[in-house]
Amino acid sequence: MLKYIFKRILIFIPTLIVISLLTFVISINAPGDPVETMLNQNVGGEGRSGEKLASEKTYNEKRKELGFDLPLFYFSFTNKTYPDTLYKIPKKAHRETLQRLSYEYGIWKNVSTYYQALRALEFKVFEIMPSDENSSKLRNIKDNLNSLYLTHNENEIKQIIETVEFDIFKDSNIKKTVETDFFELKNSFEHLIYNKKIINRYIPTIHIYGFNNQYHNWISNFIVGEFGISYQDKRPVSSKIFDALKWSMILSILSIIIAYIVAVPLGVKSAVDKGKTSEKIITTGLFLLYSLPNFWIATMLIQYLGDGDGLGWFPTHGLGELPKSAPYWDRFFETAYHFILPLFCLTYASFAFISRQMRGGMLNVLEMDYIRTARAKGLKKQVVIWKHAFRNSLIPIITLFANIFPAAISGSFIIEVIFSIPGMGQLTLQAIFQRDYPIVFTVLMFSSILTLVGILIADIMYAFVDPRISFSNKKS
Amino acid sequence: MNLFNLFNRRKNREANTLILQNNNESYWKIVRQQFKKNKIAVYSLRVVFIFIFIALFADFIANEKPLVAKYNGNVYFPVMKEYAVDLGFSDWHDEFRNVSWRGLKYDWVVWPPVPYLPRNIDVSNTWVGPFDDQNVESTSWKHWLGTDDLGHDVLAGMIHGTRIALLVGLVSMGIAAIIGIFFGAVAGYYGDEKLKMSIISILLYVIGFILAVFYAFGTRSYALADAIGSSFGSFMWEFLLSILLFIAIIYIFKLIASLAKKLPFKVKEISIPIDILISRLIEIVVSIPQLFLIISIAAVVAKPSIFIVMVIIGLTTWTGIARFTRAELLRIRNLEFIEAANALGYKEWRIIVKHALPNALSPVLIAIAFGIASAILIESTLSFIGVGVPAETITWGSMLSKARAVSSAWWLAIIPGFAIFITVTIYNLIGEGLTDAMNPKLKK
Amino acid sequence: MKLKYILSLAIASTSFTMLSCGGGDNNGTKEVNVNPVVTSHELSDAQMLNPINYSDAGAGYILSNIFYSLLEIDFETLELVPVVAESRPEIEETEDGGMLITYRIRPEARWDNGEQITAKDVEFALKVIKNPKVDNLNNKPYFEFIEDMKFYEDDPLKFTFICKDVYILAEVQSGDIDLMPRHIYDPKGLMDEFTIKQLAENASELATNPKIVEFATDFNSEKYQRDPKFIQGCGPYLLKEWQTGQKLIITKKENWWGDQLKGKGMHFEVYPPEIIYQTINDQTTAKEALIAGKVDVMRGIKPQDFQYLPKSDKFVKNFIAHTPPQMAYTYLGLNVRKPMFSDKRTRQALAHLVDVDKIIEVVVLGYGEKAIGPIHPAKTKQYNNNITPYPYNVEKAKTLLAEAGWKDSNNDGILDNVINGQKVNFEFNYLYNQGNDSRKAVGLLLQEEARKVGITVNVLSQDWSIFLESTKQHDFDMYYGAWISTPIPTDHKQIYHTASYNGGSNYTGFGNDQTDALIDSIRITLDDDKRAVLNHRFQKILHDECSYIFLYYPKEKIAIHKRFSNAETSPMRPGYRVSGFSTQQASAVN
Repeated sequence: MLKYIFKRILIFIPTLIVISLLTFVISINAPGDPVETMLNQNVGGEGRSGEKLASEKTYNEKRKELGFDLPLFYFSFTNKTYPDTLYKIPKKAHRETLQRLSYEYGIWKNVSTYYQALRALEFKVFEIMPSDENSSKLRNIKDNLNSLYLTHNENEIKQIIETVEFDIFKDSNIKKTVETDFFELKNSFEHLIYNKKIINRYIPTIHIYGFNNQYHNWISNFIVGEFGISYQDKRPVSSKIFDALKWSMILSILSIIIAYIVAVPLGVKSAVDKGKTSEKIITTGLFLLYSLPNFWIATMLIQYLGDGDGLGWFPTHGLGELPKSAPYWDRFFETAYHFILPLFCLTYASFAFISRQMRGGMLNVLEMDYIRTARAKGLKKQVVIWKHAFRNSLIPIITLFANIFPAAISGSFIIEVIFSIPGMGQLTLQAIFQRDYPIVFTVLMFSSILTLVGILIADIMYAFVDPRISFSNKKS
Repeated sequence: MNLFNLFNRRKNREANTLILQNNNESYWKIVRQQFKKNKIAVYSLRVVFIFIFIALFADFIANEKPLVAKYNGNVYFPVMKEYAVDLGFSDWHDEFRNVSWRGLKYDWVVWPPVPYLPRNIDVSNTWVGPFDDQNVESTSWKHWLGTDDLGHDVLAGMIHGTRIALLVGLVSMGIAAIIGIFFGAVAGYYGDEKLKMSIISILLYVIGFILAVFYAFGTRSYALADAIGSSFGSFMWEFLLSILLFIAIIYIFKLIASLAKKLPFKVKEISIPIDILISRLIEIVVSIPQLFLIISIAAVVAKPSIFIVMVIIGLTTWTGIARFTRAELLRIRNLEFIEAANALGYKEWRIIVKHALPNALSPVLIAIAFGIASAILIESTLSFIGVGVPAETITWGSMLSKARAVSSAWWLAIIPGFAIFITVTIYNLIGEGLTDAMNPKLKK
Repeated sequence: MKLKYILSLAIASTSFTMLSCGGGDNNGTKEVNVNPVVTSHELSDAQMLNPINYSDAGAGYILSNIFYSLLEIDFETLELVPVVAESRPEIEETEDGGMLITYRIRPEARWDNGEQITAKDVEFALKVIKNPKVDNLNNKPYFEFIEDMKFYEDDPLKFTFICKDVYILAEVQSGDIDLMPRHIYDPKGLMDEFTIKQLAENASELATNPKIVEFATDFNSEKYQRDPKFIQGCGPYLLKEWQTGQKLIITKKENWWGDQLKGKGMHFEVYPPEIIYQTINDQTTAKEALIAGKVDVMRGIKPQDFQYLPKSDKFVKNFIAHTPPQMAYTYLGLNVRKPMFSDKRTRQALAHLVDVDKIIEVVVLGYGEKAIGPIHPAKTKQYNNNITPYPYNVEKAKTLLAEAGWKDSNNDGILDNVINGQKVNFEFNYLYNQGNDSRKAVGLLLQEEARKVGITVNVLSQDWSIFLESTKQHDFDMYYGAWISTPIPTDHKQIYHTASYNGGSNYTGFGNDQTDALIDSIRITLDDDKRAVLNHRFQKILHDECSYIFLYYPKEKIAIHKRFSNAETSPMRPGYRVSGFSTQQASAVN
């Protein structure tokens, strides 16, 4: 037994590593540049505000601060066109273009030269002081150069380079300053397209980056319990999660308890009354509930039972109105009162399937010989049913047990929004939309760990409940 | 979650159908007979056929174009014609191009029962209910089930939404079933030690797998990414190419491995813990929240498509099916007839497909029945959040989510809600009918 | 006055402003009619209460009661009024093209510990803004024009900002510095040794200075964002309690220096002893809470709900609905630099296909006014009355499209044209931010209209951060946008100048030398009448060029409890001033 648990826990480690990798890969590949999202500067241009260089500098500093300037992983396994030093390029959009260019033409070194030339030319252009006669031309050149960072289409690039050339040569002053750099760019691009090496796409290559990489930093911080700072409001991730988790925990644990209290008797009832009208009514009612989405039910409840224009039976939002100084029990009942509607909305859908489970299980049990024997012996029907119903209901309960923790940690976004409960669902979804990686990573990792623990506990409990399942002969 | 629970139902039925198992044909015959005895299940199946009918002929039931019309002396079949135009066989006549079909002066005309498409906007009738006064020319233009914020006809939306509701179930559960049955069968049949391979073969397969991923997906990543940006169809095409390439490379390595077997010297064979590996895979997929995945993937896709949502639902719900299949096969593989088949020297995949799987189908079918229902519900939740479903696609779920905005618009809630209820219920009833039919012990 | 939001793409009223939430209020329900405490509804919790670093509008409204600045905007007259300053500043243009802005602080102005607020406090606040390590990247550029400060030995209350350029917004900006007590925010005096001049000139070198870093790290930390002990200003309120995601309570200071100045401007008319900001994330739920009297003030009510409210007896008994105009406009932005839209006639044809009247009627249920340009009609002098919006006219659109070369050459029902030697179908994407149903509805309306003339419109949504990035990188065909402004002079540079194409907010690529010159001269013309002439011309060009299809100027939809009889609404965001709500007049009348 202990050996089994120990073995299972050992297996957790590789599983968790894979999950952490997956989480990492999905987040990193999500569109949107987290640094941009964070800075989100709606100002700029060449007005009073930051010059291009300054804004690039803030970008780079922020990027460094967040650790995005490191390679992603310990090594990379890609084709030969993949740029091994790509992570050094600041902007995500630029990285994507360059990677694509490298893929199209096969040689990263040439792409890199082209990129350097482009940057050199751009800096030169920015050094020119705008005057009345050249300002619009300069601006055109700048805009065009900027769009070069974002395109990988050969014809488009050629066209843009031509336009830039045209603009540069119209103004002698500009021409003088940037001519050499411009030809550098043009040549590097031509060099790039005439030295295609497509075969490189099909040659697998491995680059080693060592331990100073994004994944390593994140996972090692995670292991020592440092979950980082939320990008949105700079609060520690752990305190944000703690705040939200307590509500979600209470809600989901209560919801599961209630679900069983209601659904198990219903399931037993419908098994005993199989084929009778009462069973049909129960079944229809449960399916009806199951098929009405909870966001709609929630709204209807608020509208008709809430204290607005409704009957005023229940409060519509939040967790209670008493100040922190109020007596504990008053606050407790207050909060409990506020929980009634959200709990119902979280729970009613599961009535249907738990009671169906129960019914199925019961039907099996009722057919068993020993039950018939027991009945024949004259034991009361109720006693037989409830004694065995209880035992039989344990297995589905255990199965669901595996889901309690992850359900708590991922929360129920919809119910939380509608009833204004600051729980995990809202926190997580908001973090996903805001590219708040520290929170997303942490929540996903915790929910995975808890899922695994839940599954393990469920497996162990099966063995206690049902002696037929044992660990030693599991292999046979 | 509900899929998983079904697992337990099978627990006590270890030996139930042993007699039937060697003769599949007669087994299925009995199942069919048993199923037919269950009136409710049969009626449910008929309702499914009605839904399929509505879905297939939605264009003829609700359309902005006439079914038949005589215009300027010629008889036209505009709805039929549209199929031809869409398939590229034909062109619209000049007078029919970009016209308002209602505005034309016909000699005579037969409109579809519902003369609207779900996308048609009727701004003079917004938020009208079935019993409200409607600003329409005559009763044939009435919005029988009301309209929404832009005057979209609810009945037309319901009819065309049937397609999506059916497709969601079909596509997502189809994908889930294929993946789930495959992994479940492999894990259950081979367990942790039945699959033995020489070290050389393992090595070759690992290399083969890595290279297959590299060539089929790694080097083709841009082709795939571009395709997903342009349209769903082209993505499926590129994806199929990748899959074929993948299989081809694996196959090459399989050939090499079989050559390696013929080498003169003996290589030690070790057993592969395939069950452990697949169980971990299932745990991993279960660990990543579905909503998170859908949002992340929907953000990558330039043009949202309901099909992508279906695919994601399929890719995340196969674990339940895999668990049932695995559990069933763990049981079946030790039964006598499988061992007999082994002794006869049948190939293993043949044993799995022909002998083992058919006997494991019953819980899988129930799981699929529940799965279809929950897929429809997931779609409606996504419509509510506004993720993944394109703006102009009107689904049952999207109508429901509009009902939330205006509480007095009860018809936007009751009607699609009822349709979802019917769908969920009939699939469950059919699933139940199948369970009972496949489990003769309960019937006497 | 929180002018940080002078220009910000509005995401107003999505059903999901993804933020946390919850709670209730502790009004004594029995005496509701005389309860002076105001409960204000917020759709999402404030992120932080740091007057320099905050970036969400919700926090801004709360902060404006805790921190006061030199000047504020009067909600009634929409004029700048002195608050901590004694009067509006004296402005002098210097010979070398700069400006001198001289203020004097009110002698009554005090910190909570009784200390006089002096010019040094203004300097401190500005130093914090300019500290290169302080996390206010959005805010810094607005203060770059101040190069130095001059102090007067004889008068510690008087000071002068030395600015490098003449600029119409200089007065507004210079007055918009939230003052912070040094003993709370910089107890160690870390910023003492630096001057404004140093910070303005050598920001990058100072970024590594240990004192700068130490101050900034402390200032950016959690305690200055959420801890009531560390959030103090010279405004009338103090943060009392913050239940994350549920509610935030501020209380009136007992001996606030401004109380003796009653009658000297609306910012000294402060009544509620307590203001509760109640977060309710869902608008439908919030509407119910409003009817139930759980909140006293709600803004941004959905049009459908707002039409329903007068039918509710409870609501009519207790509340008054207001619809003040909003200083904002909505528009469809066209990517001018895409070859498809490079022809002006194509853009005008699209404008003729957008039925703005129908949009106002069906989508916003009449709570909006047809727009012609970026200047709100409330700015009567600057607004150009002679422009008529493009009427909805399908025939006209067809003619314009034909003139621009769009015709259906292959009989597939979709218009096509030869652009750069390639035949392209007239198909484009309409982009809006996910979850915003009214923007979706506008897209669907346009889609149907466009289909009639043979144009395919794909209505696509993106989640907010990606939507922002797409517009910024000009990766769109058409998008639905909105800009919010304040009643101060409008500087068009950020949105309409070609210099703002990369890095600014000129997403559509509008502009040429002529418009740039016009914008530049508007920026430096301080005289209202002269500027009006230029502004009229600018609006005319903008209208003709049609890279923005202007839709409407929205009206705010606000409900306020009747017991606050003096409550008035204003075009100034958020549309009302909670701290001015009083129940006293009400009891006097009754």
